[in-house]
Amino acid sequence: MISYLSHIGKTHDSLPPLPVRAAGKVSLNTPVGSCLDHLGRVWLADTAHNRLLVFDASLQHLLASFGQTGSAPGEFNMPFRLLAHPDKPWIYVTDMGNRRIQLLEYTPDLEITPLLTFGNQAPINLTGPNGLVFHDGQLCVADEFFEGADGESRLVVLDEEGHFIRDIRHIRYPDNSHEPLQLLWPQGLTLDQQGNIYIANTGFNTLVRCNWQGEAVPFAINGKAYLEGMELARDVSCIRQHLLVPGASANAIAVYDLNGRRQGSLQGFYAPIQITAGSEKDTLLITEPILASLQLHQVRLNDVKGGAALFTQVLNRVGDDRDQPGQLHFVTSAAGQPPAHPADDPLSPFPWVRQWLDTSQQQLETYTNRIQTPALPSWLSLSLSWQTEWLLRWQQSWLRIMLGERLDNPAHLLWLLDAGNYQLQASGSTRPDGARPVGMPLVPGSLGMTTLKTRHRLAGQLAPDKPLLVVCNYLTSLVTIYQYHPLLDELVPYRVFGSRGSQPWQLLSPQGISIDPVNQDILIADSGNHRIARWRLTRSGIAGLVDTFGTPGDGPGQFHTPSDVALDEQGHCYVTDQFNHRIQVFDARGQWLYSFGQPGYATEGDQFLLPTSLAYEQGHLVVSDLVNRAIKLFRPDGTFVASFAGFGADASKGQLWMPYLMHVRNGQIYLPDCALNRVNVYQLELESQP
Amino acid sequence: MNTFRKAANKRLQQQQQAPAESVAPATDSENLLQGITEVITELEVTPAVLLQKQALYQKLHALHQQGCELASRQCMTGPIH
Repeated sequence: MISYLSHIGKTHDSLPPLPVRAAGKVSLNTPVGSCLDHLGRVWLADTAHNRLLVFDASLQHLLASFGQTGSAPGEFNMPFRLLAHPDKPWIYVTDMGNRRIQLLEYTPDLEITPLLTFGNQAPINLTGPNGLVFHDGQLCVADEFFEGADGESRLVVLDEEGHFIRDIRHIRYPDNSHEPLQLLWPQGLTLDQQGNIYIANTGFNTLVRCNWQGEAVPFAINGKAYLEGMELARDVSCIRQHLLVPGASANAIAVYDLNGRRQGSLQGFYAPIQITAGSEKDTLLITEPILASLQLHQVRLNDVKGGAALFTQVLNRVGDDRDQPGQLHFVTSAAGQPPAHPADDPLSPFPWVRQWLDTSQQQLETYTNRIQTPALPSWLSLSLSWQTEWLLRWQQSWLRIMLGERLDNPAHLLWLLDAGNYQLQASGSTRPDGARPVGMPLVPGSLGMTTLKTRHRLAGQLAPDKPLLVVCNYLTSLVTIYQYHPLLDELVPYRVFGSRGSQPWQLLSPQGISIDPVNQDILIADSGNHRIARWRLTRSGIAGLVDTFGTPGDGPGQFHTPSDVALDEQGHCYVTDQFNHRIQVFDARGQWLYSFGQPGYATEGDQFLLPTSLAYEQGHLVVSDLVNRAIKLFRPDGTFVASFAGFGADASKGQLWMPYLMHVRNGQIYLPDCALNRVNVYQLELESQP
Repeated sequence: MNTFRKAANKRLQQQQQAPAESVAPATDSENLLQGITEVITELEVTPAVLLQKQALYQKLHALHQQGCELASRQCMTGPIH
């Protein structure tokens, strides 16, 4: 049985009396959707905070905040996309975790009233309402997690007050010249001036075009109703006769014309999602959920042609302030364990030191943020943000060392990889505000982490009684091993290995990492190379490659993006074969033994959709099943035992949005959610051994 | 074939068509050392103009990558068992 206990990661969502100057006053939590109302004000879905925020057109002032966590009208659970009615003072909100759409009415002085909620009952029964478009009195919503007969998702067409008209499950060519197109996990929607619908079809990474009857509208460039070759297709916006697809190539927004011809790209982004035309000429509002930021950019889209890669100018930005005490930002993994009976404040015996540190860090941040002047090129704005954050982390580390803030007992801490703040945090308890920064700054892209308690002192190891911390980096494909430095009382780098590529000694986008209890080998889910790598630290402290196993494919022993690895007492290796939607099991020599699981929506049983992480605990396997937002417990042979499921952003219920690399220790599951920015803690009660 | 498998196949096909990424290997450790020395020297003598620093950081990062590549490749000369 799995039950929710608590979470680590403090929520900083308080606001001063409104209206207020936005700079430095707003901490966002994975914002997604935005729209303009008929007075040009900017509405933003602050998704993981379960609220909407309204800013003036230039993002200088925060004017209103609306909503809180819940399921009553006017309450939200993951408000996702926003759409302004073209004629009336109405805003549609896809309230994803509540599986419904809310219709809000606003006045010019921003009194906001819930008018209607719909979509969560028959005959509509939305399962994952995401993108929205409106045309000719009809509303269309992408129902991302709907399960059709073949697993396909759908679009649902409603009237403006939410009455069902039709759904669209396949995009059919009117002349039957091609096979009908299937939708899988459609997210963003947009319209052109003719009212054609463009769909970011995330499961296939394609951009699909159809009309309101679900008939294919082929692109001139390829005669098909879809564009492909995109790295990612999560959203699309049609702005001034251009199609903008954020993430179609990494860290950029691809620009196409309406014939499907790629014109070029806008550069200088991280992982943008929603793009909305601003009220001023040539301006774009862009949300960066992972950076926790809403940005106002200026660019002439007509200049994007001939494959040009242009930078925009950043006019203003809000949010991007997620390093308050106890706060996490894109937390990806956990390791270690807090003590069973935590002290009140185990990380700092001198509260005044911590208070002084917190104050000085906030002052430093305010100062460095002033370096950002308006109209910086997007690449420079992004670089400056990263560099100032990075500098801050270093200054904070030195301050901690100089002031002698102690780790207390590093062997009894839960380590958290706070990737968005480029740092490790540690917690001596499972309280929401328990996390504190520790160690030197991390290289951007740090992702998977595990502890390694060596059996012998290795050459150069300063404190062999304290575990090493092994951290892999998704971007650089390097693995860094940190050790505890008794004099500095900090973690310092011990060894680095790996490099980016596909040669046997290289790694490509490594994710989960685990230690073999038999021989202390380091096993790495080398996801981009579709294999598992086994490395070993020798007594002289040299890291050497032992072996790799697995090839790309969907046969036995083949992988499609293996994301995590776990080992049992005999050294059997369990792998989440993520895009094959199964768990594969290997013996200690990397020989395939068996696999279990098949694709499907289910919160119980052995159906998975993108199983992302797993752990072995006392004769059982714990699997985090991403799309099903479920933690599933199995016996090692694949027999289902129990599960916990919950999709949403309600912290009181242990719900999940983007759970990443799980850690299980002594019957407690620590599951970081990189979108909700907290680590959920669950109690695992195991049946007796079979 | 159901939608999930069809989507996964398409994704894998797309990934395998993409050109393989690899960091250009350092020819030997001497070249690497020389490269790092150059960067460190430049960092000391160049005024702290952001653009130049940016380029130098990138160069240093590439050299660091190459260093790791070299070290990791050397670990391959005799697999550890």
